[in-house]
Parts: sequence; C-alpha cells; structure tokens
Amino acid sequence: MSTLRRITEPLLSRARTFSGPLTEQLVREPGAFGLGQVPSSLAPEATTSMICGFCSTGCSLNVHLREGAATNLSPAGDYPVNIGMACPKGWEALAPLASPDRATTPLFRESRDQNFAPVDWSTAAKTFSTRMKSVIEEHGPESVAFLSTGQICTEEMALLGAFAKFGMGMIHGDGNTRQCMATAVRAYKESFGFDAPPFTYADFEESDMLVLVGSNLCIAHPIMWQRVLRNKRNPEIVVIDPRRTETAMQATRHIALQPKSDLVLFYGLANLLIQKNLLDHSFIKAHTADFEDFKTHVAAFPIDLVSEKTGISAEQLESLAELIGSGKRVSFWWTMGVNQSYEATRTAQSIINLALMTGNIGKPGTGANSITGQCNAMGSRLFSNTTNLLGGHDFTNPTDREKVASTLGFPVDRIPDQNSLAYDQIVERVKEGKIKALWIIATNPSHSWIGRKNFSEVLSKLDFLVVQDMYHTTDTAKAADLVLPAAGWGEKDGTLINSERRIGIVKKVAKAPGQALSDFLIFRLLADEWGCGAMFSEWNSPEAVFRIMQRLSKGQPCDISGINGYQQIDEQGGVQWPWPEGEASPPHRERRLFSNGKFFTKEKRAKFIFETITPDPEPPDDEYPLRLLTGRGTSAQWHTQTRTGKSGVLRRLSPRTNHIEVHPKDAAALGVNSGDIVKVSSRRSTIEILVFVTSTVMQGTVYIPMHEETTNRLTLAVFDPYSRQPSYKSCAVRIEQ
Amino acid sequence: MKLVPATSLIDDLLAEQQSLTAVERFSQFHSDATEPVQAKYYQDLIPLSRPGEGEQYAFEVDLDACSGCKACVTACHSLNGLDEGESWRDVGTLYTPEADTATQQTVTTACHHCSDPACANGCPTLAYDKDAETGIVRHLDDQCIGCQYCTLTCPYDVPKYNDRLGIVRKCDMCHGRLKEGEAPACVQACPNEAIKIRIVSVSAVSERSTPDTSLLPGTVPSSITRPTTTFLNLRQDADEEPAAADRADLTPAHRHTPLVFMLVMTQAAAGLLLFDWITRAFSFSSAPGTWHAVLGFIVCQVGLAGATFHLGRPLQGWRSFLGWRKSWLSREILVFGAWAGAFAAYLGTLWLELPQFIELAVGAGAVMAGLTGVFCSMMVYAFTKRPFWKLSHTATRFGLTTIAIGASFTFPVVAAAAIAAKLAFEYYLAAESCSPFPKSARLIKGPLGSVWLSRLGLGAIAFFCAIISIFLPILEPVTLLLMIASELFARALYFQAVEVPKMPGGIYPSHEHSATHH
Repeated sequence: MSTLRRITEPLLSRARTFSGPLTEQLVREPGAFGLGQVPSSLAPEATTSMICGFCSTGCSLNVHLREGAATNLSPAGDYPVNIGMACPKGWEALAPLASPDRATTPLFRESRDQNFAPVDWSTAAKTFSTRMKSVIEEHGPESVAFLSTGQICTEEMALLGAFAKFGMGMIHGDGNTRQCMATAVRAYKESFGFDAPPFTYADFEESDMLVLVGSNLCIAHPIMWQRVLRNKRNPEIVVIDPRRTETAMQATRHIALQPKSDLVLFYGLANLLIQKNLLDHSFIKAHTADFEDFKTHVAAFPIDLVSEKTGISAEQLESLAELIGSGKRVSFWWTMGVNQSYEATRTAQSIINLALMTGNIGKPGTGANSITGQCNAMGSRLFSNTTNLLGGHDFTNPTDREKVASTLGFPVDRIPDQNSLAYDQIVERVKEGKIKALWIIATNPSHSWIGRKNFSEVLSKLDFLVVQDMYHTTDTAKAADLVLPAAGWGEKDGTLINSERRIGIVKKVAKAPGQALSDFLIFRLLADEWGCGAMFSEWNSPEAVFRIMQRLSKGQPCDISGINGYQQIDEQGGVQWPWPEGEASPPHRERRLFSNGKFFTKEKRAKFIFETITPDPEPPDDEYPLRLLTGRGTSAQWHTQTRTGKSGVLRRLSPRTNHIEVHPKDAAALGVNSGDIVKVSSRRSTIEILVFVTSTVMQGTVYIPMHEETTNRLTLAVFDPYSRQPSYKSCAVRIEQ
Repeated sequence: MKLVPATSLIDDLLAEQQSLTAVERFSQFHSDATEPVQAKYYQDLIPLSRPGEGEQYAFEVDLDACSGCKACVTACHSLNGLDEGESWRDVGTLYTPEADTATQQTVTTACHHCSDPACANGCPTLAYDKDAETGIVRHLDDQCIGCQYCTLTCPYDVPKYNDRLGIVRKCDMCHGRLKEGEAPACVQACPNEAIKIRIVSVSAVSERSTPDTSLLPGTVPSSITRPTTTFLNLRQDADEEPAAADRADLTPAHRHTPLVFMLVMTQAAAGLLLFDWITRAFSFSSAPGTWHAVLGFIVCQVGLAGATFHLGRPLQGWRSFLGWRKSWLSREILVFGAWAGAFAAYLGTLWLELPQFIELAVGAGAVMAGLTGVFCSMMVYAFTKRPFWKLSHTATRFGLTTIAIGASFTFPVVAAAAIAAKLAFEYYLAAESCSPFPKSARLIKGPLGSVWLSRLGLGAIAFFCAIISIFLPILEPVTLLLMIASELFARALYFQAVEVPKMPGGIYPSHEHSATHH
C-alpha cells in the first residue's frame, strides 16, 4: 500500500493546479498610496478621498482611481471622523452608480396614462419652464413648490433654493430633512438662539457618561459607535429606548421606558436633580435663562408619577439622576426616537435642559447633542433657502433680507418676506388642489411620507409633477410628468456638512450615465431656460457657489468665511463651522461650541424651554391594542433603499422581506409564530407581513423597519406643532391571522 | 438675457459632466507611503510571528465587541475584488426567543479553516489545500470542477457557488496579506476590533472539538470538522439557550435538479439490472426479453449524462478521480463509470447469446458494480452528517427507489410493496407530530407542499398501477413511468427539505449567494 502511495502521491499532486485563469481573478498586489494589498484587477493609479453620501456621520472614503475614474474604495485612514473605518453603506457607495435603472435621459409624457418617452435636455428644460410659468401665471406663485433633500451637495441646495425662490419666484419649498432633523433645528434655535449642534465627535471619547436617547447608534451610525468604543474613561453608557436594540445590548444600562414617556422621564429627572441639588448653580446663573420657571414646571413630576408613566423603577430613576448629576462629564445624544414625535421639540429641549442644569455643555465629553440623519441635512439646515433664508437668516426679517440681497447682488424684492410652508402643509395644499405644480428632487415621498395610504393619488392631483432623481424607477418618479436624470454622489463636486458641523468635500470620480447631469448643472440649465441665467452668472461652479456661501455666512454663528477653498477642506480633513476670516489657520481638527458659555440668543444665554405634556394622539385601545414603532432595520439599508437596494452585498445583508417584531407573550395570545404571515391594521390601512417573535420589543408594542414601502401605509400623520416633523414612531395597530 | 444659445450651454454642461478632474485638482495623499496607513489600527489584531510546528492561524471573534455593523462583509467583498453580491463573511444574530427581556448578539463568521476540513475530505478533485504552515484551507479555483459537493459537506455553509465562473469560492484568510504582515480584509475593516487572527495549537483544537461541543448554539458538533475559530463572550441566559434569528425561517434548500435526476435514474437502472439478472439467474417465468436490459442501460446512460449538468466546468470533470482515497463522490463517479462498462459488457453477452454461465457471471459483475455505485451514492450524502440524510434513512430511500422502479416489469408485487413502504416512511418523516426532523416536516408541509402532494399522488397511482399490472401486464410501462416521476418528486424533497447546517443567520435573511435558495 505504501508503495502504491509513493507512486500515486506525486502523480496526484502534479494533477493539482494552484494557478490559472480562475485563480488569477483574485490575485492581490500591493496597492501603493498607503493602501496595503488590493485586488490586482482593481489596483489604483491614484487615490483621492471624499465624504460618504449616505448618513450624517460624514466618513471619508478613499476612492481608488484608474484613468481618473473610481474602480473601488476603502475607508480613509486618518480622517478625524471615521479613523480608518466605514460602515457597509460606505464600503458599497460606488455600487448604486452602476445600476441598470439609472435615469440616462430626460423622460416626459403628455398625460399620466401614457408611457414615458425620452426627450432631449432642450425639450425637457423648455417643458419645465413653460409648464411651471403657466401654472404661476394662472394660479400665482403659491401654486408651485419644491421638495428637496438632505442628500445633495450644499452648493446644489443653495443654487436650487436661490433659483426657485429668487429666480422663479416660489414661496414654498421644503426638504426631506423635515422628516429627520426639523426638531433638532427648532429645539436648538429656541434654546441656543441658533441651530447649532454644539459637539465634536471627540466628545464620544471624552465622556464619563453617555446617554443615548432614541438612538440605535450601532446600526444607524456604526462609525460613531466606533468612537464610543475608543473612549478610554470606562464610561457609563445609558441607552434610553423602548426596544432592546443592538446598542441597548452594548450599554452598561438600558432604560427600557414605555414608548412616548420620554418627556415625563426627562422632566422627572430634572425634578430629581433639583431635589437632590445636583446642579451646576454657577453655570445656570451665568449662562441660562428661565430656570426658576422650569423648576416650578418640573415640580409637577414627582418620582412616583414618573415611575408609573415610564415603567422605570424609582430606584433606577434615582440612580440615573445621581449619575447625571455626579459632576462628571455627561454627554446626551439623541436622534430619531426623539425627533420623530408629536411633542418632539419639547422633548429635545428637555434633554438640552438636563445638560444646561448640570453644566454639561461647552466642555470636553459633554453636550446636548443631536445626531443627524442624512449626509447633508446640516447643509440643508443652513443653505437650502427653505426654512431659513440662505445662511441661517430669516425671511421675515427685513435686515436679513437686505443683507442677503446685497451680498448676492439681487434686488431685495426678489426675496420672499414670508416663510415657506412645511412639508406636510405643502402635501396638504396639493391635496386641496391649491398647489398645482411640484418639483421633487432626490427624495422618494411615495415611499417615505407618513400615513401615506395613497400618496400617488395625492400626486395625481397635480397639473405638473417634476421628479429629479438618479433612478427613473423610484415610486415617486413613476408618478411624474417629467423626469430629470441626475448624476449621483461620486459624479459631482461639492461639500457636505456632517453632524458635528464638519464641512467635507465630495468629488467627481465617476462618469454619469448617458445624459444624466449633476443637480447643480440641471439647476444652471433650468435657470438659463427660465431667463435668469445672468442673475446666476456668478454661480457657475460648485466652488464659486461655496465662495458665495462663505460671504453669506459672515457674521453668522455659522461663519465659514475663513476657509481657503476646497483645497484647504481636503487637506485639513474637513473644517467645522464656524471658521471666520482672520482665525489663525489651520483650524484645530476637533472643535466644540459654547466653551465660553456664550450662546447665540440676544442675551447670550441658553433658555430653559418646557411645556405641558400633550396627550398621545393615538394610544393603543381595545380596537387597536398594540403600539407600532418604526425605524431602521439594518446598517446595510438606507431609507427607501433606492440606492442600497442596488448593491448585491447590501441586499444580502438586509432581510429579504418586511417583517413585524412581536413580543413572545403577545404572539402567544394571538396564536402566531415566527414565519407566519399576518394582517396588520391601523386606522389607515392593512398590510400583510411576516412575523418575527422576539422580546427585543416590549409587551404591547410591535416594530416594523421603515425600509419597505408598506410600513408607512400604517403610520399616523401627526406632526410636532413647532418643528412640523412627522411622528413616525408611534401609532396603534392590531394583528389578525 | 441669454449670451449663448441654449443648445451650446447644454453641450457645455454635458461635457463638463463627463470630465473627471479630481486627480489634477486635489493632492495625492500617501503617494510615498511605505506601509499601509491602516497598519496602526490592526497591528495588535494579528500575530507577530508565523505559526510553528503543530500550530495554525485561526479567527478569534469577540461577540461582545461585534455590534452588527457588517462592515467586515463589505470589506471582504471590496478588498478581495469579489463578484456582485459575493462575500466570504456573513453576519447573523443569536437571541433568546422566549425570554421576557431579550438577549441578542450579532455574530460575524467566515471559514473556520478547520483542522479536519469536510470540504477537502469530500472534494473529488483535491481542489482544497490545507496549507502545511498556516493551516489556512485554500480553495484551488483552477482545480475546481464546480460539482458543489463542498457546499453540502461543509456544515457551516461556507463555500459558495459562483454561477459566472462555474466554480466554488471561499475565504482564504487573505493569506497573501498575512504573509506580508497585513491583516485580512475583515480584520482591517471592523470598527470595533471584534475580529482577530490568532495562532492556535492544532492539538488543542482537536481536544476541544468533542461531539458535545459546538462553535455556537445551533451549530453542528465540532467533532465533525474541528473548526479553529474561537467565539469569545457568548452571552448565556440561565434559562434559555440562545437561538439563531433565522431558526424559524422556512426557505427550502437548493434542489440540485441534475442530481435529483441522476440519482433516480442510476438507481432505476441498477434496479432494472438487478431484477433482470435475478429473473435470468433463477429462471423466473417473468424473465423479460433483452429489451429490459437495454432499457436499463439507456436509463443508466441518461442518468449519468444528466449528472454532468451539475458540473460548473464539465470539461474538467476528468479530474474527479483524484480524490478517490477520501471522497465518496470521487468513488461514486469511478464506480458508476466502471458500471457503465460492465453493463455494456452484460448487454454484449445477451446480444451475442453467449453461454448462460458467462452471461450470469458478467451480469453479476454489472449488478455488483451498479449496487456498489448506489451504495457510494448513499455514502455521498451520509458523509455530510446531515441528520436528515443519515445513512439508515438515505439507504432506505435509495434502496427502495432501486427496488420500486427496478421491479416494475419483473416483480410488480415487490415494486408495489417497495413504493408503499417508501411512501409510509416519507409520510412518517413529514408528519410534524412524530418526525424526528420537525423543521424538514414544516418545510414539506409549507413551502414544499405542492411537491409533496405531487409525490404522494403519483406514488399512490404508481402503487395501484403496479398492483393492477400484476393482472394486466400491459400497464407495466406506465408503472415504470409513474414510479420514476413519483421518485423524482421524492428526491427533490430529499434535497429541498433537508435542514442545512450553518452558522446563525439574520432575521429573514436574503438568500443571494447562499446554499439555501430556490
């Protein structure tokens, strides 16, 4: 036998091949440019870094280039945000560009029962111009509106806002940022005097205690979680969330409060801090206003009441208050669990109040910090010319109008003296037939809008619907009269502003398919066709518009006049606002606001803002006994999945179907199991959906991720009265087999 | 006031859109870097030295550090230049389904570079190489013929078939990177430092890999392949064993249609041959004409030809003898190859009307070859250690198929008894109340319901047809066809209703590039 083996062994090994054309497909070689090994088939000739276009974390991605075009990417190794890492969406950021359903030519149809036909840009621009003008002539400037996005570059937002309002004469325009960040905007404006998130990401690393409210950081902002893990101070990590999320699992303490009891909790904690005298009296005295009234207000929230409403034991509440008032560095971080509520603004402010009363602001590892959603929601907040007049100014303030007009060299009467309607009010006016023409840019309300049983029906009331998007296949684009094909992230230049106010660069590293143009170039073309080409002659490149934005920002809290062009932003690893002229360059890489205790209100004091708690608009009852929560599914999915759904790897990392998470006890009572298909009904609609039984949701609540189109048929269209942000996080439903 | 005609502006804008200038306009960073910029983040995550004698590289995963971000999966895809949707890493979730307050942990997993790799042990072409120094189990892409047997033998669902290339590919632990002191893609990409490369002692892995241990709850006993990955910090609830989030997911496994066809046909042919020989050897009155053996031979040829459709690279199929020392698939192919020859020789003896003792001697050889081949088929599936495919059950199924179809013309009573026995056996396995394989039962009654009903219906008709053909022999060909059709459905269920052993998956996981898809 061994003789046989001696003969056969060499023969067998010779019949094995370790190389060849298939093996070569996966050969790796040193990538140069500090990359380490890369696949030989994609080895770069150069690299350049740019900011990711998905979420507001603002990670820098190192794009691998061949002949100037992107072939691959990896996270940038030494950017102050992501420190060498990226989440799956960032890794796959190039994949959505190559999708076969990209819009490659303008599409038009005379009537909605026809199919789209491709048209050239000249026809598309003329159609846009004539149809919009005829609506305005017949029904006035309030009969047209635009709905924009937090997903395009700041320069594009500025040009869109300026062209629509100053050029076309529109009054109403809002963005999908209304769905994610409006609450933080309003809360900061009222409390601090300006929409100014005060933190820098280093605060994650420098806190002794992090309080995460309504934020599943591990899944929604994985790279911010990376920063939390870099914290060497052995911090207490408190997650306040009705669900036992991935982040709650990682926390040192999970406060699983009853849904919609957050405002009670924070008023109650404030009351406890006062009772225990765990306050920073000198900070309150020197830098805040209205504390005494606040004190009286929260006295109505004794611990027993708070415990009863929130479902959190008195001991836990006391211990939490003691931690917050310990005098150590406490930072508060909130996101959509707070923002998307019917009393969101006051809830956000109740968190701000906790930071103010304990002096946890303006110092390392502190702050009342709103984590943003979209990659450029922060740019939209300052420069989209929707809620604010360009640069954080006020449409209703004549001085601001004068200032902006003279900075731009436009006649002041071009600037509307009234505020725009909010998103929900625009939708309402469309429903009422008062808004007749709508221009939707880079957002997909037919999927994402709240309580939208029949959003397409609403859109069908329009005389003219223009959708400008990368894809002609979004639910919204399918409802349009005119589709304008847009270049995407990676196919254009510009800047994005992240959660911590950091301005970063995006670059054109891929050729847009067919006739697709960047949103910036589309706006230029339409402005020219409209007849106001000369008015925007200075707005001829993204960098030129950036310079205009710098001029507009002068003297504002968001002053960026000191930045020396795109080059400096690129080389510095982004620049956080403010960076006014005259500061010694280069700016420090991590800067926070309010270190001097001076806020942006007239009195330079932060305000304690509070209000009576409002009743839940749709609590569970006998007919609809369960409370539906909605939110992010996985880190591989982005919103309505128009982009993440285009990547094979991201699809593989997402559930293949929508599902509802049900607590085991509720499931037993209903007689349903994982894998069953059930009917879920709210007062708006009924959907069919797969069950997943898990106690990550508490008894009496159910959870459905937001990424599938069906979810928002169920949600209840109520809005925070101050921020007009939709209350996605709660409505009553029932489950039937 | 327009300065230029609109058409020219459009041309300018389109030209501007198509020009890429980032390289000229922005600085090139790290152009003179001598080592990877990422090195500072991963240098503590990989060993300083190479494995010594009796050691190998292994993944070590800290389950408490993994937060489910899945960056590792995409990094593997991008940094290894894999195809659309392809990655060698996966992320799943473990949770406690019944607890009042949930525990959940996300699990990142790739190839376990087993100390006794089942992929390599089953491979008919020796397309797996366990590197002597590093212990990394490499797949030799150019050696692979795309038979996909490793996708059945690996109890962790690691090797994945690539349609474009017609081969399987899998994690190579970025061996080239490790050689240069660089971390594998997944290790580099984890923001939470949850994945490390460690050097482990092979004997320690063997010692810990007992029949009672498994990598994680719900995975197979580690004694099967002795996986080298270590998962740290598994959260154990006192009352409840964590379960995979995809535990209740009812997605049928791959059907492997050419194998369904090949198995039924080879078993049919082996059976026809067996009963042909028996009637001749014992001079039964029911001995059919030479056509019966010819029919068997045709069925055999069709079955074997059908098998090649299962290969991603059929032209490389000749390599399949290389693994005969370990691989039952290799043996199956060799034996069936020899059987085809022996069968032809038997036909020759009948054709030439040679003396009966020669006919019977050659026939006995052919019968033995055929039955040995069927036995090899049984072992091919039993080797996977999938409980649903355990030897006694597989032998029952394949054996009864051989008899039920094989006796259609010669002993209809036997055929009817065999199909009845087989139906009863399958009915027992499909009954959720008594089946030892409840998940398979749920699959059969649920998503595979129509296949199951077809199987039962055709099987019942075949049974009655066989009974009637005792008195009405003209029905025998109909019996044969019904038996074959019915057995094809049964064999499809054999493949699709099997519970695929794997690492924990996510909630209703997508099945792109997975062994469990339609």
